[in-house]
Amino acid sequence: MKTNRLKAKSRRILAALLILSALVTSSCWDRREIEELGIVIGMSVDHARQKQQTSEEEKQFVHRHKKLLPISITYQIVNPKIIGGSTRGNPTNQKPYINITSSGDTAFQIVRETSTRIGRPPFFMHLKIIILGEEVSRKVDLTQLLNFNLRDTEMRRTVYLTIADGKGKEVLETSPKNEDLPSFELLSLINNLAKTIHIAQPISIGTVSEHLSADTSFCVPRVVIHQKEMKLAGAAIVSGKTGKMLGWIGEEETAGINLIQGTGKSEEGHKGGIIEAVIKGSSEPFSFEIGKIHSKIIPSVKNGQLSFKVSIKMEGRLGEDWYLNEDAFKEDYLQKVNAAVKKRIEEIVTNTLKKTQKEYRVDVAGFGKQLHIHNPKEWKKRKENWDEEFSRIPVSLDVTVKTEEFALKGKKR
Amino acid sequence: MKPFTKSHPSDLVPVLSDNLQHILNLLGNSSDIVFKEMSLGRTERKAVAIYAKGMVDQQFLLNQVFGVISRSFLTEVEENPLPYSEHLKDFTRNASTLGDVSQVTRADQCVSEILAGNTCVLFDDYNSAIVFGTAKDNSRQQEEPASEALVRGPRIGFVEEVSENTAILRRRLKDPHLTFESLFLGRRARKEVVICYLRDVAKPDLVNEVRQRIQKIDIDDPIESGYVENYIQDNPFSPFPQVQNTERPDRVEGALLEGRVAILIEGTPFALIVPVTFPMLMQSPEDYYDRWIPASLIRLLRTLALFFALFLPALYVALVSYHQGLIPTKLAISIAGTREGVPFPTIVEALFMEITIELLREAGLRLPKPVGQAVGIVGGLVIGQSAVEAGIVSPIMVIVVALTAISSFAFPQYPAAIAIRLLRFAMMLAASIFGLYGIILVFVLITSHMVRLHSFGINYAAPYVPTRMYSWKDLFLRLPLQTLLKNRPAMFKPIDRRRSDHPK
Amino acid sequence: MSSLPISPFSPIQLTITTVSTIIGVAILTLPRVLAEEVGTPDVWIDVLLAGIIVAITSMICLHLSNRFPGETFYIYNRHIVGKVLGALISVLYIVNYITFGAFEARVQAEVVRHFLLDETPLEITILAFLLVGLYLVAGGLNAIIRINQFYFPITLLIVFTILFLNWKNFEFDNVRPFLENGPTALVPGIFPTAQAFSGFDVILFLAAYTRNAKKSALPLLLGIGLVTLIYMTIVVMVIGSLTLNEVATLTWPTMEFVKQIEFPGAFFEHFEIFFITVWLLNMFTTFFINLYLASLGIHLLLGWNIKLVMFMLLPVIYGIALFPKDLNATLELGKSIGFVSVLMSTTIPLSLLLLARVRNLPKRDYSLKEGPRT
Repeated sequence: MKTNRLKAKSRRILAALLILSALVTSSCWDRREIEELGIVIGMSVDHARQKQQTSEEEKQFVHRHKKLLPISITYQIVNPKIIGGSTRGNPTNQKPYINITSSGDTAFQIVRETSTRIGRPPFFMHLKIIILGEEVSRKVDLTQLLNFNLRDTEMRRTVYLTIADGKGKEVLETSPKNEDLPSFELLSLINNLAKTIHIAQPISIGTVSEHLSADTSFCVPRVVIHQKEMKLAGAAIVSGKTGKMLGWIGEEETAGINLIQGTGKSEEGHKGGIIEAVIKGSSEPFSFEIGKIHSKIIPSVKNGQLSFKVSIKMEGRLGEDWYLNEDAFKEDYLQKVNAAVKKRIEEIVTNTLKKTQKEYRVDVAGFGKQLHIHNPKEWKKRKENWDEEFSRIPVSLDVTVKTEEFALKGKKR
Repeated sequence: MKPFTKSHPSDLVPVLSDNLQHILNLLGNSSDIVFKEMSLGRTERKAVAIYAKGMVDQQFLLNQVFGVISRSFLTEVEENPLPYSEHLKDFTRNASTLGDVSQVTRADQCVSEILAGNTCVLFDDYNSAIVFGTAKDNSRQQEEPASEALVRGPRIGFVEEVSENTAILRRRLKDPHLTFESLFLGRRARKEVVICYLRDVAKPDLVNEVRQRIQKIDIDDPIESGYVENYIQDNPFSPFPQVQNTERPDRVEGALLEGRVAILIEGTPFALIVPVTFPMLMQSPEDYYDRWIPASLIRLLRTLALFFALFLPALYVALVSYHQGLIPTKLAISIAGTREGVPFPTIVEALFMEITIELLREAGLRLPKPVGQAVGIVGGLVIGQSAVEAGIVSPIMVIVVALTAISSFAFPQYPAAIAIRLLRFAMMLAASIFGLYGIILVFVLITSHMVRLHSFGINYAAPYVPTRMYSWKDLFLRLPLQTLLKNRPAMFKPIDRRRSDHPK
Repeated sequence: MSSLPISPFSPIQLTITTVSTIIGVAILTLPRVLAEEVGTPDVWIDVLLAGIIVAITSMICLHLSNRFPGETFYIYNRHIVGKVLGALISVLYIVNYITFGAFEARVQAEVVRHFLLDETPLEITILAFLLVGLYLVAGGLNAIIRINQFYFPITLLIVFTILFLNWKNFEFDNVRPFLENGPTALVPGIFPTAQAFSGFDVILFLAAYTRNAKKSALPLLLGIGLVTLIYMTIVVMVIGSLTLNEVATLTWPTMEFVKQIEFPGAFFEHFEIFFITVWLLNMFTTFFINLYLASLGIHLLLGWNIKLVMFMLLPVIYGIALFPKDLNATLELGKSIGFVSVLMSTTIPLSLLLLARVRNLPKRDYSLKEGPRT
């Protein structure tokens, strides 16, 4: 009886072994080794120049698609031979990355087209940053442009988005300073929001998609290229309705939007930076280092008239002072500093609102969302054409500044 | 052939030469058996002492046995003219002061006494033999067991003598309820097997089950405790050990107090403990000797070691050849860089290194200690280094394999480590076919097997599953003894639940 | 008639099994379903309401089972409605469990295709899932109960860790305003949410083998409360970090939610690996009980060897799992199964309970000493 059971069991084990061996010997569908992949860290999307159709076949292909604007995508692929592993130190003077550009009508097609020209096809799970060219973002809806990046299972929603002033490809061709790859360099620049409020809050394609699906407008950090060097400055404004870029705002207007939005709780959202102002009665500037920004947008309806109040509460420290008669040990001097910073902030924010409300006619700082939360009925009436409505709504400011300290030195003598 | 059955008449007859011939037939012509003839005083009668050379205490034999026999017959026969047979009986009675003396009436009994190291004396015209307990105490010095070394704890281990082992236990646990039950096992070897338990603690069903399973064993010689283990385990096809073995009396002592049953087997210092569950195999007696905070941390460390030993190479294979996106970017780049130029897929690389490590371990184990160390160093350093330099494996693979090997050495009990080693290869193969999904499938299979497996009626994953939250204080952590030692673990269903008096 | 022995288990084990059976596919899709059906950020109230309804229904199931101690639903339904109708109801449940098991196998394969193995054919992943599942189920009900207990703490640990790690992506503004369209707007969301709880009716079948089944009410309510809490937290967190409009566009919103946890430079940069593992383990636990109860039903109905029934059901389940031709068809199948399941688990126990009361059943004397009857 027992031996029978043993026999039955051993037969079962034999069967399991057979199945296992069948599986081992059969092909393993998804296996590809890590070194066979082209790990893409950054990519840029640009408008492709209409290329001359060389062959009849290609002409036909183009005519099949009615779209007039082909795009060209540049992938920045790591060359692990140079920066990874034991051969570190770059003996061959090769670049640690490979940039490869392909054009086509859809992103997926371009990915596959790339495989005809590079042995290790692009692999996107490590994609960190996407740079859009100015032209393409003005002409094409971002919903379509980023569709592949949001849909493909190899992609992540946490990829950051920037828009280049010029061609996106040029950003990938700059020479990096600290990092090995221009993409990594840009990535660390983006996260420097804690040092300066003159760059826009980093935005991931997931957040972009959230904005686009809710039809709200938003800002995307702008990258400027100057003599093979990149710089983050200002932001691009993208309309939530059309998904297309409307135009640029400068560094100061970007600061204004950052001030209206306040400090977020996430690490990337932590804002710091410097506000330069001049004390009343002096001609010399001082620097005020931002500590915390608490901002609130409060909608109110009076007599059917909608208005917003932006309340900004800022704390910080007096970081540098060129005014020779300063005396930070006196409380009323600090009050003067507060007043000067307050005036400066009001200036910045007013300019920003003027630019966005009057010039671009969009709401990029989340006024609509606050209206939705606080007054859903009012929001329902206006949400269809919110950006246009917003440009007519008065916004008042309520700024309070508090200098918490002035560090190690407080007066000249 | 069955030497110990009544297949032929073996009663002793009152003819010395017949008896001698009979015993000689049974024993065969073995060179270690000594037949020593002596004359009884001045009578014509003779006696023959039979014993196995080397097994008897020579000093005792000469001084006591031979001395007493010759003396008593020298003087007393002449002075007391009792009939010869009466005199012999009288002698036997008196001789009992010498210690272990008895009479046997059958030749096969004589043979087994001789083989046990006792001396058999046959007399002329007498139909029984007198057996002197001359067996030499051959037990070696009690040393600290090499296989289960502790930093803190008693420096004592079991020896090969079962009587010595029961004495060790008795000395440590002077409880009148400590019970030893002897059984004899092996058609040929007749080895003594002792079941020991605390009568008022261990569940009677458990003791009966152990006794029955041991009695069912039909084997000619249980050479080592492993033979018994193989016959009494629940599922011979399981990769997991379902019986615990140990050389440490303190471990057995602890087990007895929990209501478990230990089995001591003659001829091996390894005692068996049943039932055992997998979480128990991850524990060391030292956990209880240390203070509870370090002990708890060490337990957590072992849990980590278990995770590494089981999953690490498989995870590496799955991540590097299937889910590269789940590796942190910079690490991914550096793995890709180190794998640049390695000609094999990761699974081949991993199998190559794992098998090398297993070979090294095996080789180091079998060689004498100094040579073994040299093999370890040569193998570990030289093969690792040159395999990387030759570009056959990547340096990260070497780290992974080394970490895995170290983790599996961190297991306090060897059998558990072997089981995990085996399963690690299954994991790796699954990972090479299905990636992470394969690992999950094998994990589900292993856990399924674990919850289906029992050791003497106790679920193999207890006390993790079936969940008894109050037993968890002695699972991943080891909380202070004051809280642990209130009650015995409920999973063994002991008769006496309480270990100490405490207000209920 | 050969059956696997069942030894009685505790009310807590019953609860853990019920919870493990409930948690399954829905955890990945519930936020999208709610965003589509209701479309306001306060849909978590729907989860709460559905949880309360399910808690009440589960009490009805328990109460009904307790009227027939030691007998499983497949047996006692014939005492109430007679042999033919009882068999019909049993068949209904068997079919429900078979299709539910097939759906589980299919959905896990779809998710595995999306997040783990892109090219591996569905046929292979489904087959592997079924075979691995069969090994445990062949070990009987107690093995299933124990494995649920095995995975339960792991599940709780990972799910709550993931929710905690996502805290920095959560924006409270995204789940406001509260009740903007009034409470009536939430009503259409209750039924789809109740589908997320489908599987709680295993109580009907398992209460028979529970020690102190009468004391199961409190643990069960706590268990369903726990599921409600998990679902609510997930819905709130997913909508709070991905926004309502976005959630409605995503196939597996909870996966996207988990994928956005990022700790650059840490040893684990991403955490979806843990979540996928735990989710798959929960798919297994749901599948185990489905396969077991389907086999038990056939075994009790026809008297076939239960292990044989399990083996025979496997190809059937495999066939049904491969039947939907694409993802939409699969999700559609899930919807209809959920619909039928919710309908069955609310109406059948209630009407049977009422009928039993009216007919003043049971008339026979059931003593607990007899132990479970299978």
